[in-house]
Amino acid sequence: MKKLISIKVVLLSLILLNCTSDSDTIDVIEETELNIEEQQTEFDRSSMLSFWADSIIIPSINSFYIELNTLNAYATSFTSNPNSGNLNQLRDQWLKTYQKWQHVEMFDIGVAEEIYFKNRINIFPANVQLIENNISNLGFNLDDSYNFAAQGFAGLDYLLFGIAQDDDTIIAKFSNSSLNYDSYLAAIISKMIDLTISVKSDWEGGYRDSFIQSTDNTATSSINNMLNDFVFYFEKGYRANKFGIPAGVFSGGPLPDRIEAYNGEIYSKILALESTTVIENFFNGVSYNDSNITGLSIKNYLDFIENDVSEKLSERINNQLQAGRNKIDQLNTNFKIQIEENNHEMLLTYDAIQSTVILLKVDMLQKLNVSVDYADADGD
Amino acid sequence: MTLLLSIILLASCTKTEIEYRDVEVPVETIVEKIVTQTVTQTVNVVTPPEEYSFTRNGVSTVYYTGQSARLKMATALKSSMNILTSTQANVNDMFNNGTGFSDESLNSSGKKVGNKVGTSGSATVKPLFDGWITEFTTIVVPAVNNSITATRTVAGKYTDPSGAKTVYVNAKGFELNQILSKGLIGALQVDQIVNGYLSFTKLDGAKQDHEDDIYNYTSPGASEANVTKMEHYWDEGFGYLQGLDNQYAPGLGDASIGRDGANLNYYLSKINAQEKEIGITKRVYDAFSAGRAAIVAKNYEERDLQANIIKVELSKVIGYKSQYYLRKAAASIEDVEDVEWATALHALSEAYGFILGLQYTKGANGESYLTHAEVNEHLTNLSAGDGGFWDRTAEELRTMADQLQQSTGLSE
Repeated sequence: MKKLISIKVVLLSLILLNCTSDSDTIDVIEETELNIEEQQTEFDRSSMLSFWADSIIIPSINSFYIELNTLNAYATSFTSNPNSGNLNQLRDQWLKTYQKWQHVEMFDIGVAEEIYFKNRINIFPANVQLIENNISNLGFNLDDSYNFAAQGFAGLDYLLFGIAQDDDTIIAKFSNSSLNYDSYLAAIISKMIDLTISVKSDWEGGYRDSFIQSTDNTATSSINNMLNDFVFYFEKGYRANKFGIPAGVFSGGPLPDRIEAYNGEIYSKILALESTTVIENFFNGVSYNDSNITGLSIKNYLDFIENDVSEKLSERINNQLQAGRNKIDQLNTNFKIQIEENNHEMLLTYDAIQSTVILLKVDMLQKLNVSVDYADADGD
Repeated sequence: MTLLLSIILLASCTKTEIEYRDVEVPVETIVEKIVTQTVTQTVNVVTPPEEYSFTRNGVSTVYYTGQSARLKMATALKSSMNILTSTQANVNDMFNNGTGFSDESLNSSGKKVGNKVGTSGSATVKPLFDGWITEFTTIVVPAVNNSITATRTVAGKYTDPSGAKTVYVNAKGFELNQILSKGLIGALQVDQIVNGYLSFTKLDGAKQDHEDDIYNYTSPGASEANVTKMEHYWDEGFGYLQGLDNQYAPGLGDASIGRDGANLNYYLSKINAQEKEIGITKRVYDAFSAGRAAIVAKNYEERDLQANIIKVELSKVIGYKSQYYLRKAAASIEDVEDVEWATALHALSEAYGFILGLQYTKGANGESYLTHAEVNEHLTNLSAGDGGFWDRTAEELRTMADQLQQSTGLSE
């Protein structure tokens, strides 16, 4: 490990000359800063940022974009030829694309942040009333923040699984073009593609370079923003949205209809596990395209700072992430059933995840000397 | 390696002459890291005030209306959990929605008790309270209203042979208003003070704003924001103890204008009467005052010192009372010929609630007396068997009390 020893030598030369006339005292202070470079230096934050951008963020967005296009193609197949084969093909692709999205949601930075990307792709539950109104009126504007809960994956979840009790009726609704389900489906997917293109172009344009060059530790630097995004995603997008809110941690009682992919029923656990992998991979610097390739990561950064510590924080974080994963593994495939039948296990899962929040938000950020840039609700 | 020293020599007499010379001095590469540093530190000396009174521009900056409201709610919930007209919907509204109280000011306060229960710990604790509410209103109330006499495995009403005590209990002998109320002392009040408002994370999270004199709150009577976040957090912690009593004096307030009769401050005052802890109410009050003064003086070390005194002292209430009620119950069932079951079930319910709170405490070593898992183990043992409390023996209860004495390091 290389270190920088910086010794500030302050030479104080104080020469007092007593003069008869003008001045009594003259202080001369000369400061000389002396940097003795003993080996080298500090954590290579620039390489970490490059790895994040080139091996995790950009490939994740590209992969999501590719799946979205396939989703679009299958949606067209289904609406032009509504049958159960095409419906199932579309649903499978919806899940695949939804899984890819889990890899993207965390990176709420740059254009993604400006256009409220995550709020438009994955706010759940969907506002079913709003969607039905939009479908019958067709006078909707998906860019209106009012409509954020009427699009994205939760909107698709409703269209593909929730508009009727059984598949035949769903297919029948899509078969009748005057009901507009087909055009609303196309509109939602088209909007998801447009938004993704904006984010993708941003990274492919100048944003990638400015992202990796911002290596300082200031409130607006990339590392600072990214660490905050990571912790925020863990606390809100992962802990609260996928577990805490449906389990009723923030309300009087459980709210099973708040699970992710509510209408699809059996996908909430798959998505939660995918998201767990995303978190583990980002923390440990695992490349998106090849899990055998790793690069500089938060774990390395922490280990660098804790060079002389035997019980490393990074290990405690990884162990706690694993404890959370083990809990999730035990849950019902359908979180709705889990909550309705044994919410206690859901709450214990939440506890395990909450323990990681404390490690990340308090211990990790303190070690890395980063301030939390989002506020908690104070209550009163 | 060379060290460049710039030495400026000033020579001056009647005419000022300055001569600069650059001198190259060879320096050994051995650099000793013995650096003598003169650190100028402004030590903000804190004079602890006589009373909890703090002003800015002549206006009091102290207010904790939200805490007073929640303590009133907790008191009302305790009553409602022993009233035979209570319904699940009504008590649930009081607990989770902050409505349905006879005191209208509470209904419009926007505050709730439910969302502040056990927030620092396991998410499995709060649903216990919901469960007790459901159990009392849907099982105990109908049983008592049907004049069922409670006995082992049967919910209903039980009166001691002496007639001195009557309890409404579930099939395991739980007097649910006692469990809920004592549970809130730990899971609401102690948790909010110890792990919430007076925690280092909470207070230090507001440090930058405090350093910059940024005012985020407006106290009643002020025309513009005049309280920093850190000051207000501390006041809210104070309010969770003193919210029903007198701001300007330790202990319980004046009975004529209403005071705490059911919550943390009430039990703190009881502890104050114990020989070993005489003066604990004043110690806690003075620590609140001194810590608040330290915040005003921006002396954070002193603040944390006082916070720690408060945490350790308040935790003792839970520590003492959890054992005390186990021993009290043991005494009531000791004489098998003349068991006062209502008295025993009442005491065991109090013990159960206080034991629940042990996970939110902070002992002198900085750790809670018991972990969440250890608390669950004690609660399971205490309520084991189909008969629950009815199945306990005096010996078992004394053993449990001894274990708690060990864990807390406290004895009467």
